[in-house]
Amino acid sequence: MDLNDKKVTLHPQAEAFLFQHYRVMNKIFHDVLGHLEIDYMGIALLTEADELLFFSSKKSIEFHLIQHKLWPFDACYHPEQFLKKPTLKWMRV
Amino acid sequence: MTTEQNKTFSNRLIEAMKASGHTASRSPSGICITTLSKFAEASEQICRRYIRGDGLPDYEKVIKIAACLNVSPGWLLFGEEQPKQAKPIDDETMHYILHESHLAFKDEPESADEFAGFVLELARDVREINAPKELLHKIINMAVGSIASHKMRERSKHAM
Repeated sequence: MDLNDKKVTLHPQAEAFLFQHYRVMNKIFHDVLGHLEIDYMGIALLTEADELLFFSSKKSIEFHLIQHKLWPFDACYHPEQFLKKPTLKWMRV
Repeated sequence: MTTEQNKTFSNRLIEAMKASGHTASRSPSGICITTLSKFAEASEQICRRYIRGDGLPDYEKVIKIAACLNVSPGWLLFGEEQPKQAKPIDDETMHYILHESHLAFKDEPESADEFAGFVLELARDVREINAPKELLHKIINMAVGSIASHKMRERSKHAM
């Protein structure tokens, strides 16, 4: 895959998606949180149109990234990170 | 990014450059722009904008600069503030959460625990969100709306 051609944008409904499936997503996250010292979990999805969506156990994080337009500065949401590179330490994100 | 965020980025960049010894006494900012230009792989003109707080480097450049200065890219971009004490939730918002959630759970007297858990969780999430009241209410409505869609999904699962 040519990563240079990949331009990720925010899905217009990204903010709403964080909360629209609140109950079911929280139930799923609860099954994971607490294991292996995991205290936060977020899932970023990319649509076929390269639009970014989030699900999160701590929605305020992604909400503020969207609201303040800071998400492009987070390595987690860069194609070269999530398509190519291995795990990054938190400090590198 | 706001001008203030650009400025605080610039302060941290200057601080990190000085801390790692890349100073220049003749430069107005006191740091060596040529070195920064090499670190960022960008022109000196662009680097002066970073230093003046007129702009931010893109993500790849932040990574390069941070690696050269041995600091974390996250710190360089956002700084490390002391963790803020979560603000208490105001009575009106709490009332709204309880009212809307109660309506969503009223047909399920047996799920009192689930109702309490849901309200607690939503209150915690809402408390950590800085947004105007109207937006908070919209968020609460979406979260509460997810109860109905969850019930429908569960029912259709059982019907199959």
